[in-house]
Amino acid sequence: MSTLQYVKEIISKQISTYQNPSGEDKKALESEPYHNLQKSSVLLESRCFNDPQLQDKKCRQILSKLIYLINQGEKFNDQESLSLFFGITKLFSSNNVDLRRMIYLMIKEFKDENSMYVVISCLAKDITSKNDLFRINALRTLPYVLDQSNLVQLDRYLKNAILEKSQPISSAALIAGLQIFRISSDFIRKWTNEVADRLNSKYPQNSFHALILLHEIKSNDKVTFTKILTGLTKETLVPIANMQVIRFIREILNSDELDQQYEKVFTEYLLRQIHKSQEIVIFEACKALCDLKCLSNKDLQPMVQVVTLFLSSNNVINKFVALKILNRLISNPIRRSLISSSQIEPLIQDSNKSLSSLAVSILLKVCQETNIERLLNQIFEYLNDMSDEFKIDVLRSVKALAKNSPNKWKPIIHFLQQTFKCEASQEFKKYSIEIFEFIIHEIPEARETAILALADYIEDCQHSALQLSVLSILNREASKKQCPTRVIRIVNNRLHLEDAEIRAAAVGVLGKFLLHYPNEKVNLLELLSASAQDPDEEVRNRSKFYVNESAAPKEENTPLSIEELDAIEAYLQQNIQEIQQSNEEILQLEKIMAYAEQNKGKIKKTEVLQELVEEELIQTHEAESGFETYKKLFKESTIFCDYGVLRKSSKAFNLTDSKCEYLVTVVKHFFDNHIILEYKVKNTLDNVTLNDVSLELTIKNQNLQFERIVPAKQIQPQCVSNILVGLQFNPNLRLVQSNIQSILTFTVNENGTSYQDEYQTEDFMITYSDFFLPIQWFKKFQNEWESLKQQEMSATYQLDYKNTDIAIKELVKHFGFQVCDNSDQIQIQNKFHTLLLSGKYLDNKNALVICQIGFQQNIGCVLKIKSKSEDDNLSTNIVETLV
Amino acid sequence: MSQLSTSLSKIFGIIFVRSQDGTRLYSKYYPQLFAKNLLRVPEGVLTNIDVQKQFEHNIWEKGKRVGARLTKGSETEIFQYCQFNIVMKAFNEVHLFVLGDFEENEIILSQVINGIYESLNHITKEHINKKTLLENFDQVIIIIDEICDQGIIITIDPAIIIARATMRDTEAINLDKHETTGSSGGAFSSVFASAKRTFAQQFMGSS
Repeated sequence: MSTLQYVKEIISKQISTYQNPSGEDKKALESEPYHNLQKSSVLLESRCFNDPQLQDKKCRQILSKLIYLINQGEKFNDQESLSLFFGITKLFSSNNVDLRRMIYLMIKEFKDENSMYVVISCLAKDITSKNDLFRINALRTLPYVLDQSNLVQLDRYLKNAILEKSQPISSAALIAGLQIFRISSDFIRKWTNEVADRLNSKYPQNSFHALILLHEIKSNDKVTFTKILTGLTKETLVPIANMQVIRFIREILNSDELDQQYEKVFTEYLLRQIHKSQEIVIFEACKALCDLKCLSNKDLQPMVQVVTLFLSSNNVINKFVALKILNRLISNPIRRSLISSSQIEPLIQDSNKSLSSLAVSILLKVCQETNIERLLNQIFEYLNDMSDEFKIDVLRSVKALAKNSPNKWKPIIHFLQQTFKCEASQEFKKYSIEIFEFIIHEIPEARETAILALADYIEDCQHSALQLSVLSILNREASKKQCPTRVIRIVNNRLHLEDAEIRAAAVGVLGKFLLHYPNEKVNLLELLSASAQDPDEEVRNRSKFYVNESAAPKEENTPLSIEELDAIEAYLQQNIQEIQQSNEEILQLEKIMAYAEQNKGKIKKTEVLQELVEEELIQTHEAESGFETYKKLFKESTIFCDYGVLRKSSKAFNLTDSKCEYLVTVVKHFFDNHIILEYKVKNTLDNVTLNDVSLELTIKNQNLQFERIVPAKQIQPQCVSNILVGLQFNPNLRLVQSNIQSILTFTVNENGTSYQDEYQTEDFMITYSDFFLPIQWFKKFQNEWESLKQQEMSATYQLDYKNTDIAIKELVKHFGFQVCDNSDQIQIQNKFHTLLLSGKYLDNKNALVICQIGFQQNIGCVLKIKSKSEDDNLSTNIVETLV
Repeated sequence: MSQLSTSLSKIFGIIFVRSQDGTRLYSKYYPQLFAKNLLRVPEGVLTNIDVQKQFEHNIWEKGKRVGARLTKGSETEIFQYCQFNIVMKAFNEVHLFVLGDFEENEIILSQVINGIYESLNHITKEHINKKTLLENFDQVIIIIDEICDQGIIITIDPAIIIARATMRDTEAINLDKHETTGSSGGAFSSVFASAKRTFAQQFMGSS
């Protein structure tokens, strides 16, 4: 090696130790045994691999030095690795066990694909060795050097090894199988019987290794694996295998489709596991149970009890996992009532910061409104000890709290004010300001207090960036009504103390007050004229601008802000009929502004946008199904004209597999008292003609009667034809639901011969939801409900839903209505949940539904349903659909 | 290369760093069994060795903050960093981390780190520190290799780990008298028996 190369290596070594600045650290490093290990010198040493008399111990040390270098990121060039690799193969001539162990490890660490084949024969020899340890290691090393081509030769050895009596050898073969599976899964799939044989192995790890390999082998065959798992639920397993079984069960339970019978077996199994003695099993079972929606809170009580016990454990890991499970559990709001905060509170002070952080975030989620104040005080006590990262975490939970309990804004604002005083990063305080902004926008009652609190903050805020963001919020708020004028004094103080940028921002705020608060005009003009003498040009310009602006004669039509426009729009929509009927001036500005004032903050642009989007959706929906065309067709049709106007058409859906000889789709058309089913039949055969194609219908509901049919005379090969079926429903009913079974009957004409045949399609449903269009045509549900003058229909039912979550989903699906006012979000504070729904019946009658869902012990889910619509019969029908 | 199922219980990595500066002593990652997106961390993609080193440095920093009071090697702390569950031990001048993905059973992770700890304790004659670990580097890396293969746990029983790492036996040996040749009896094959033994050692033996 040349001197130059040597120097280069020294320099690169020095660079790689850049993270040791102080002398003391350097000293600590220099005393390390492997300090300053050089690749070149180790490579030089490795020449002794070729010696006829191997020094086993020395060779082992060189190998471990090489592994150290590789692990530190050292690279070898082609020539170096080739000669090294051949050196390593020479080492197989020694029978020293310690050296051999290191060779195996070296082969795994040293990934050089070009020369791997060299060692295969050495490993193959060791697989058949008499020394079990050689066999284990050779088996485990093999997957690193194998490729598809030499798999077949080794198949027999591997299979035999799996069946080996010695558990460690069997396990090594199974683990090798798992690695080979990634290279060639088809190859391993042939081992099913051998692997399954080890499932019941009594040795600790063996059954675990067999289980995971079998799971991969059966990854395409869920049914079989589900059966295997069911069998295992009856066995006594070692803890690690037991844990793995639970994880696989969880995977299956969370997948989309599972037979109910298995679901029951697995759920019951999981509930049994929480009483096991090993934490590894208990925790895994609890995690699996957390995700199960089908369980009621009562079912989960024992699990919560077990988990809660671990909260007072001495073991930090047990505590951590217990908290993690509870946190996961309550991510579903209906589970929050299962947890009592008193058990979690002590953990806020835990010395492990990730633990205390979890505790706080759980507490903020489950806390009762009455406890918020106390909890926030408690958290604040520990806030200073927390890491910045975690402090922001706490703020996030506080923001969620403000969202969920808006009437508790007082303690929340107090807490946020205190956060300004504690020592924390700028980012943290910026987040506090963001929450203030959120409160100002979302909680109208808190707006004034929040604005003042923010204004107070800039009095002693050190960061100019934070001051600027506060001033920009104040600027925005000052252009709205009812901004506390005390802000003026505070902002004015900035003009004397701060740098130019902040002074300019402060002038902006004062200017906004000047324009929007005429009562303060005199005072403000004085303040601003002082700023007109400011040394900074920007500040001077701004103050002059506002002074001039306010002096300009006020125009009659001041441009409206977006909010005001929104308000006007909302007002017009709300009162459009009233306005049309009355003879008064259309734009009663006073009335509108009063309305805008009332609904400040509640009218949002997004709602208007949403409605626009919805309208557009309806239009595209109609365009898709060619609704208008249908409407015209049916109206002009001589056969169906007595049905009246077409109200609604469903989408087309398939009644046959795409591979069938005859493809059948159906569209449901709804009229005031009739339904037309339009079947489209496609004949996909090339040399067969269908004649007199008709349908036999079985309708399972008395209230829906077959009335007439228009069959298809003939369907040529590769052609489509329609069959129309008219159904009539009981004129006293507005809604009807039924299963429809249809059998296609026809005469087949094939090469001159003809015969009768029939073909049964899949069944389909006419559902209640078919009658409705999910749409919200109003702003606020309550107002719309009150404005509907028709009679309110109501009824109370006891239903089978397991929890509120499921009840909401099922009810929405049942009616096919639109959820209003986000009422599908569960609020934990309420004893019962109120779900608000709206829809249009057959596109012309508005209908509203209020569902109150509650749970009572012994009875289960209780539902009170109220309905109003433009047609009393319809309301009655809606209520009765749940019978 | 096909991907294995995500619900297999597995280890993502084992990391030794220097306590003084968080630089790498020895690290093993087993990314092959994990989904590609799990390898993406704020520092970059974990297949790159420089990214790995920065990642280890950041874990070490976070670990120090979370478990500042960690003193004895027998104690374990736990925390989360990025998408990983991490258990940690601090020895003299060395921090040890074992990583699993977010869903991994935390108890298994702690059993793995305890298995490593007890095995290292044995080979360093109860004096785990940076110097003894580097002096016995050959044994350390073989112990890690006996605990897990590409992330799949082989065994967590130190009596088995030591027996196999020293090529003495395939089954557990009696660690109390490791000078004599180990017995092949499975008397101590249970993890719990081994844990009990270790506790007994801690209470009665050298402190």
